[in-house]
Amino acid sequence: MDFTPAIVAFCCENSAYRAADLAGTKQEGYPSNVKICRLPCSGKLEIIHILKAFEEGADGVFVFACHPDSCKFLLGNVRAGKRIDHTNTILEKIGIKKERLRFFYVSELEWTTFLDLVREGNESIKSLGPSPVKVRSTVIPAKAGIQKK
Amino acid sequence: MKAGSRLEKLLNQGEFVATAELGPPKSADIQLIKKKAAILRGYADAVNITDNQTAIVRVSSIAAGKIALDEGLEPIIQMTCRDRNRLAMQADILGAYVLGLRNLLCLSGDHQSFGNHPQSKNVYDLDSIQLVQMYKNMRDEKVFQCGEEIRNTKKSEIIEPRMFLGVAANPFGDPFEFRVVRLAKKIKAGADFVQTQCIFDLPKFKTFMQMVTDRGLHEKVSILAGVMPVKSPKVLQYMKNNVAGMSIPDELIRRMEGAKDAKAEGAKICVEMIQQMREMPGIAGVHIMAVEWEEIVPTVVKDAGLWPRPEVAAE
Amino acid sequence: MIIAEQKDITEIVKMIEGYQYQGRPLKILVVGCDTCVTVCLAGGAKEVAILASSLRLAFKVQGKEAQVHETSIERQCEKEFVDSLKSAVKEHDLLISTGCGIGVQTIAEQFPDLAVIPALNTTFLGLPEKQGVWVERCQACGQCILDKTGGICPISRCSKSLLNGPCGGSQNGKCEINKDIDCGWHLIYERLKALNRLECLEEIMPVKNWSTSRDGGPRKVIREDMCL
Repeated sequence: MDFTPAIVAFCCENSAYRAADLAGTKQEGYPSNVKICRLPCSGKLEIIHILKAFEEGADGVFVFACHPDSCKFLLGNVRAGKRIDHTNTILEKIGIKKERLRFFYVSELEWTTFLDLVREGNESIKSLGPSPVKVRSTVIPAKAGIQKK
Repeated sequence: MKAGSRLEKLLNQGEFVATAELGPPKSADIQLIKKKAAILRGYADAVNITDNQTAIVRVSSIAAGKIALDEGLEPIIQMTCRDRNRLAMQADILGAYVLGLRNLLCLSGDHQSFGNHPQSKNVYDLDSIQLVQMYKNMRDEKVFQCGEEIRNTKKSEIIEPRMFLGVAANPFGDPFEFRVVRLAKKIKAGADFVQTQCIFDLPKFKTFMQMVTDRGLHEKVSILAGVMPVKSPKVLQYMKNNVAGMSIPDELIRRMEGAKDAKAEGAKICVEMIQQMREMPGIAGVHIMAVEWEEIVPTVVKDAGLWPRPEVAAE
Repeated sequence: MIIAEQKDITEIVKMIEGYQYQGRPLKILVVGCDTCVTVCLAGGAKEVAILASSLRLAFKVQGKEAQVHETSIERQCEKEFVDSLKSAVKEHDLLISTGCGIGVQTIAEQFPDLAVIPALNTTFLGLPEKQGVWVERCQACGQCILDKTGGICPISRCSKSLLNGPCGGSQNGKCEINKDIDCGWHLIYERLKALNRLECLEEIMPVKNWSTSRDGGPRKVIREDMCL
């Protein structure tokens, strides 16, 4: 079955986003199903963003952070790592393979590494197949949030 | 005379006493209690009957103590604060006294997380100091903890439980300088005798005893130094790593490792300790804790020159 | 404050299983609390969002039909705040409270016809030691003696709640049951030493009256001057 996964890549603008930009100028080809979401720092990523991505139909979520000890906000990439670990435990328990969530370190100049990681990640999500969230349910996702008093 | 127990009489006579330990079985095995009693009979002036030691369930101390009494031993019943509230403790001392038991050791008790029922609720209604004080008041003031007299009705006679009361002391716990203060507190609360945690670190123990004798505490209470014959160097290593409040010098472990017959060496070390204790001021006797190795007690007692045990002097 | 932590999500999903209605999707409302459980990062608005999203995903994966909505109120332990949920509650079959045990019970009392399940295990009274770590400090025994122990509570910080501690298992200032637990009595000793009040420890602290604690039965406090 030819399946094109829907993937969100959360990219730190201080590293991965710039690498992606650089990769774009090189015209090496980039899988268009991997949508980039720009963050001011990987530490801005919250667990709910990852979960919402899966709710909205993502088959895979990637998070790109700066290398250890290179975060310009000092601990942003550490926070991101911890949140990924916590999200992994949730995903396993609710029946979503934690391999659908990937965490990578890149720096702003490593455009080839970035491309390799995106392509490799894309292939691995393809082999996992569509997210069980999409496949099994036909219920329209409920809208969250009742007005707080 | 407070309780008139054999242990009390011998201490009053000025004898260097020797007590031992009997660990009740983890099943309703009455024969095993009798067997252990038979091994120890004649080799100790009194025998501690442990109470759910290390929070592992065994036959209760009072029940096993009664059997040991019938087998010709002088039991020292143990009572921990972990498993009973003040009602049970007072009921138990009345029960123990009614059964003919006359010595009782008050302990805080190892936390239940050490044992085989770590999910249980612990009690700790009282601590060991409050416990010995409560028992002393029952004996000397003849009142329950609530203040009521120990008599069945207003007209019946007062029959109070008269026990010879003991406490444990750990010379090696922290803070070190506070240990003697805590011992003084236990004596003030009413302890008649003290059994220490087993000693392997003689120099540190001597420091502790110096503080004790400086305060004159050895004259207010009979101090029995704890000793333990060990079967193997592994036992010493285990205790060093895992048992809180122990001080075990590495030379001892090396000595055990180098020995051809570890068991014999372990017994020999114990005998040497006892001989040293006999020379120390302030020590009224030894408490031989041969945990699950009651068979070695006769050897240790004989080799230490403590056999035969003294007779209680005629009145 | 009251410290709680979220139950395993598989446990929460299992609790909900008993409530599946036939014929239409189950309507669940997850209610958070903005006070203690927000501070201990267990049940505030943020945690509610994560739990609700996780539940929606879990149901989708299982092929079950359910709608999971979210909200949060100032405090679940005051009836007036809980009453503000009245209209929202009418539209739902099941409430999941991420409040402490008090909050869950208050919601249950105010809406007796509605099923409410607890998403948290309420654990103890304590404070954050550092980010992400909360520690126990008070057992609510009803008879505070902190003046006698240099401001450190032996009931909550001594594993055996001794009043004349430490026991023989105190080693290097740590409790015998776990090297990560400070020996409460060692702390008291050091504090009284620093305050030059070590003589306090020479007195025997008498037997505790536990009847003011939970041992005396469920408790009540009344201020007559405030009752109208």
